[in-house]
Amino acid sequence: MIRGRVIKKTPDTLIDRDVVVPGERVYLGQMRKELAPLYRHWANDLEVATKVGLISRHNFPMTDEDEREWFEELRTSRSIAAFAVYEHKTGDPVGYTALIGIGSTQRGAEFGIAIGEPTARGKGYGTEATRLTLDYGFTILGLHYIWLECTSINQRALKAYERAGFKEAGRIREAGELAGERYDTVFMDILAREFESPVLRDLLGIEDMRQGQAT
Amino acid sequence: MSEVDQGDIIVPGEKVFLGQMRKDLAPVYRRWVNDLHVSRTLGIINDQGLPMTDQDEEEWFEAARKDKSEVLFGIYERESGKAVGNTGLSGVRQQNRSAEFGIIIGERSSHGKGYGTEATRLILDYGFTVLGLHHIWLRCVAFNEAGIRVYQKAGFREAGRFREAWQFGGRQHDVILMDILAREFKSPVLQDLLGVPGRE
Repeated sequence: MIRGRVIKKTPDTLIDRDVVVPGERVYLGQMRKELAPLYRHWANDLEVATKVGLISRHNFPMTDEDEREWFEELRTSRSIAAFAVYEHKTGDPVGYTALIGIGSTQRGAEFGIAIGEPTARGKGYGTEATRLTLDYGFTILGLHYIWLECTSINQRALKAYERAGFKEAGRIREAGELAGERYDTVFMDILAREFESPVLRDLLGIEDMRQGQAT
Repeated sequence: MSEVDQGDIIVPGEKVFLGQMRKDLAPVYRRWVNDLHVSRTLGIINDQGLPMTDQDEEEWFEAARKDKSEVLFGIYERESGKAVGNTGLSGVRQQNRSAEFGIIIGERSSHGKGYGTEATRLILDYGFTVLGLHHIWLRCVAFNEAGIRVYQKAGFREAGRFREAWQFGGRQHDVILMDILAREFKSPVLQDLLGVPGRE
């Protein structure tokens, strides 16, 4: 992969490390404005952008101004829950994840994720971050279902989503094109009753709350 | 307001034709969407978009008019020139040559006459023959059985379904995905009309 320039990452101290949803190897924390250049850098990775179908969906490449607008939109929108994914061991940001379109009467949301750091791939971080985001969506937000859209060329992501609990819901055939080859758009979904909370239910003592209510 | 002004006939069919959307018809479009019998199968009913005000309607019209990734037509009854619905292709992307189809037959008196099926064929014709799309897809709630039959008759095939992704009437319904490829579609009108050679 061609790296244009190296973005210096702000070392994460324990003080500004808000662990919102803790996992084993990664945790979900807040998106940080000072990391915006890093997010832009990830988004401009052509390999990532083509695999997730980003190029056709947004203006590409992303400028600093695009990045600022995108960050502001994420921050102020009440229909998007966006998290940065941090490596537990180092506190390094490695990607981001989001639930989009929350808060409607539908109790549904679209899931999106990018593990932007090339060195962080192939370690199961994506799978764990997906589970943690689903946990937030089902346990905290009370969603009924979560869905996603993915390209059929992104095999690694499809496997990660399956491991996290998503099932294929369908595919629209030959919906996109890359290098002259048509590829499918794959849709996946998961329902609340199919998901077992890996972290938050225990962490927040939800069973105890229920028992307290019953007595 | 003249509902009988024929406007421009852009894609002519037998029973209906596709013409331009018209600002003077915005109150009619608003009335259609505010008819729950019509909008019960549309996304807007659950997106907190109802009831639609005149101002909402104007804003929607302006946004739709300026959005170049969206191709919108009015559907007009051939005989009377009366506006009966709208249809569109959204997310039209040159790079992927793909778009999402949508339709509304807003006049209840125009239901059950095959207008939806013909309008669907006409806009597919526009998408494949004129825009050169490779692929067109749609989303539809599972209880919209009349709609699904129309889409099947027009050439769409089921591509999958999101389970329980739509709440309406106190329960969860599936959302059905359908798609059609250019090579599966035979131009009913435009290929002859424009004198373009057929697909090999």
